[in-house]
Amino acid sequence: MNANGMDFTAAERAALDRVSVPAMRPGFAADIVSAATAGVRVPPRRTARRGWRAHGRLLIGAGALVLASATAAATGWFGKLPIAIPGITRTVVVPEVKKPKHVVRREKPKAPVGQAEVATAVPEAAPVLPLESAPLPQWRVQRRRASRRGCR
Amino acid sequence: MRFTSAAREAAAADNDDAVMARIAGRDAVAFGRVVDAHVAMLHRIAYRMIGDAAEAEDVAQEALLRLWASAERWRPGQAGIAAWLTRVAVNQCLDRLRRRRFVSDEEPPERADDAPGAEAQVEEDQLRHAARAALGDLSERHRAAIVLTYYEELPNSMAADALELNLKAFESLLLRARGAMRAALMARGLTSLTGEIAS
Repeated sequence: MNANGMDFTAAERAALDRVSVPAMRPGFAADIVSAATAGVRVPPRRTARRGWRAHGRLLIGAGALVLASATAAATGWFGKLPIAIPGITRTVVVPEVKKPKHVVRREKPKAPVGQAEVATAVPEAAPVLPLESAPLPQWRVQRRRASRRGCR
Repeated sequence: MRFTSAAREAAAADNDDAVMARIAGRDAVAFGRVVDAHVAMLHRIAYRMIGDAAEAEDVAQEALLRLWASAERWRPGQAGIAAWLTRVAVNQCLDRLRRRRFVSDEEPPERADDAPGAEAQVEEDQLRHAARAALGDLSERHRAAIVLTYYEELPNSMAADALELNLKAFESLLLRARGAMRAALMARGLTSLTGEIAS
């Protein structure tokens, strides 16, 4: 027992020491040497993995490649290549559109607002209505006349 | 002339390098000596880790065949053959245990018959079975830490190397493994809080 075993109590060590190991089958060591010299191949350590863990890296790699290709196609990167890739270049190539000419728009100079108009403007006279034409007094006059006529 | 521990290790490593050079040259005698020297240790580690005698033999054989196959790639000056084989065997055990749980191939002891001494034998078998089950209750890495340090009495540095951990991380793992081992033994009724031995 080394120093590591000293951390267990006597009871614990007694219990642990009950875990005995059965004997190896006779001739086991000789069989290993025979297998090695006969050229028996050792299976690679990771072959027994199944399912997602077995193909995970492959799937992630394929997914990344597809994503990168789709991004490149969408951005028109294939069209910039010096070689034409049949199918891809033609389908995703961006059609050349004539670049619109940049025209600088010049606006006509505007006359200064306010000064000339103010100088030429004639103030209009306020409308003066005759007394009779005003609706309320006219109505009153008519009413008085009617009442006078009625009184007579 | 007295050798220090480091000097002895260096001498052993030099010797291992020479042996590996011979194995790389397909020297079956040298390989046979390596097999004889290490097969029992590999079998013990694998059996206590996995709990199945046949599978433990598979692990031991595979580790040794891997040494034979990769002898040409052996780098002089690296940790010795024992450390290399231990690491390979422990990794194989962990790989196998990840695919299936610890299953002891030991049959549960039957009830005692009337023969003299049979009752004591059955009781001893029950205790051994309980101890194996308690070891099986640990997680794979905790079990590996206990197997390497307690049963195989490897120094912490070598056990850490086998589990591909640095020394600090391994010591932390070992501390937790001991706690888990104590709890498992107590849960199986093999020890008590007062430290009495179950009998």
